[in-house]
Amino acid sequence: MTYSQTDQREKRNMKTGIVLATIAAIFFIGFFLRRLLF
Amino acid sequence: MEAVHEHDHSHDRPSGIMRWVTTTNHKDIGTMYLWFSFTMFMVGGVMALIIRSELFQPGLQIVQPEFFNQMTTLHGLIMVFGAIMPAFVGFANWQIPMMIGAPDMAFPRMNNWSFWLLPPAGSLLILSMFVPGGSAGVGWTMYAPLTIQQGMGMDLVIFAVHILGMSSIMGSINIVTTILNMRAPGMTMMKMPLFVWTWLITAYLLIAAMPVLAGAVTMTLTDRHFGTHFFNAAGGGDPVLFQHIFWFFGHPEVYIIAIPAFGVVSQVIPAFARKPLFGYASMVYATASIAILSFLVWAHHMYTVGMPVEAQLYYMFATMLIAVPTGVKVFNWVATMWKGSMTFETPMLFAIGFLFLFTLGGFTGLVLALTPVDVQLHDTYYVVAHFHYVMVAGALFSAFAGVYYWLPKWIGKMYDETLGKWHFWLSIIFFNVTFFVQHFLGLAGMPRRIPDYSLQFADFNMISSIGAFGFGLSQLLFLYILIKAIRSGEKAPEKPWDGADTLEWTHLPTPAPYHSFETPPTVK
Repeated sequence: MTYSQTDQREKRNMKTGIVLATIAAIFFIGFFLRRLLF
Repeated sequence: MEAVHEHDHSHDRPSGIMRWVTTTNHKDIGTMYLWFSFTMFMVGGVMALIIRSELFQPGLQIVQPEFFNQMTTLHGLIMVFGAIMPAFVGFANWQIPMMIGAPDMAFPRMNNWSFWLLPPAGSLLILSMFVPGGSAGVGWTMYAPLTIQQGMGMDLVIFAVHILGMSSIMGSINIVTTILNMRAPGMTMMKMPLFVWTWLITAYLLIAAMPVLAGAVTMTLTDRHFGTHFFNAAGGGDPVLFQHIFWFFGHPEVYIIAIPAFGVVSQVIPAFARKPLFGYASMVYATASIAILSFLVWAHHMYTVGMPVEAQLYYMFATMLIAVPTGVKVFNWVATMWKGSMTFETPMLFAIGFLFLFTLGGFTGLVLALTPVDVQLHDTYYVVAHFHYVMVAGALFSAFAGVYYWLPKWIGKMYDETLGKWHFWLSIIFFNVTFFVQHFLGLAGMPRRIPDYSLQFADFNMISSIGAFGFGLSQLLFLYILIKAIRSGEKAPEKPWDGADTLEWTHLPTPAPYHSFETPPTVK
């Protein structure tokens, strides 16, 4: 596996990764906000 | 075999320790996960034996009560986050790309980082014993307000949980992305092996559950050091809030451990029954149902905190509902074996052991779901017996089944079948000697997490401690079997298991090459 192949694969998959990371971030922050705001 | 590259690119891989530090290869990373998990299993096992040594007789003989509490805490955290979860992530790394016809994981560099976060986190957990005041003696559930009153060992544990959580979240993002985006042509979702399906569902659970735990321990940290009062009643906070947040993570966590175990067993049973898995689609839907329900039942862990009876009724019925999809899975496994041409090599023995004992653990879970019964049994040894049936005879036996099943594919050599069978029988006998009697202790009212107990509990505790040492020593046999297979095992045939029909067995040589499926196979 060369660096450029890995780069290409990571770029191709980046959108899915960002969506999933955002879901994780929402679950993390959500409980704080729930407690801090209400 | 056209999918295999002729040369193995060994020129672009450093040698020695740097190979393992810098590797982005899913097989290398899977191997590291599995060895890390086994190491932590041994560390957590020693802690279990310290606990069982103290409980061999009534009275305080071996350790101080504070240290005993630290042992129960670290044993739980190390086994859950350091041993069982990394073991199944190890399986995922090795198997998912090969089973879906992908060349590697979607984010190979993040995969490396996911693994290398684990050794520092595991070290922090162990090192927390050596700071002033020792480690956290709060139980793996880390309930407030006890956590607010602990020494700096608690901070190390919180930091370790944060790191372990980051590793799990990154690993899950990698697994979901790999499965969604990198399947070989023709590998539709409903053609994926069940192990892949169970990991897809588990990874979603992890992405939703682990950040919640991270939030809970972060709030604990700010309560301890930064003047907040999330869980401190004196400052307007609520200790019960911690329990709600923790178990919103904690109950899905049970299934994060159990569902990949279901996946391994769903590969092993059809292979040794020489029949396709019975009810494939219903298995997928049952697994998804269990995952969804797992987010809706968390307060059954806290019936005794004083919630309205309507809430108790809801949580009781919702929890009992989980028995329906779980029952579907158990009946499907049995139906797969029905009229199969069965043989009983070690992987199949562990899978059948899983089937019997996990079902028993699930059944005692159903008992504990009943609010009036749970009010009696809450925090007794009945609970300890229940979750060890699920975690040890469930998850751990399934992991053993998986190691014996895939070891020939990983290393190209066979394990010693006779010794493997010895490992199974010693494990299953000593497991039951250790934990079956704990049901009776719980029913008789012995509380968990205590270093001393009343005289009437003495006999069963002695039996349980003898079983624990037998079980622990049996696992040294497992280590010996592994080393023997790696060093001098017989060469494995291309396909040692007749009924194995997934891509890694049908399209790749044994052992699997360092780079596989760089040209994707076509799945019909």
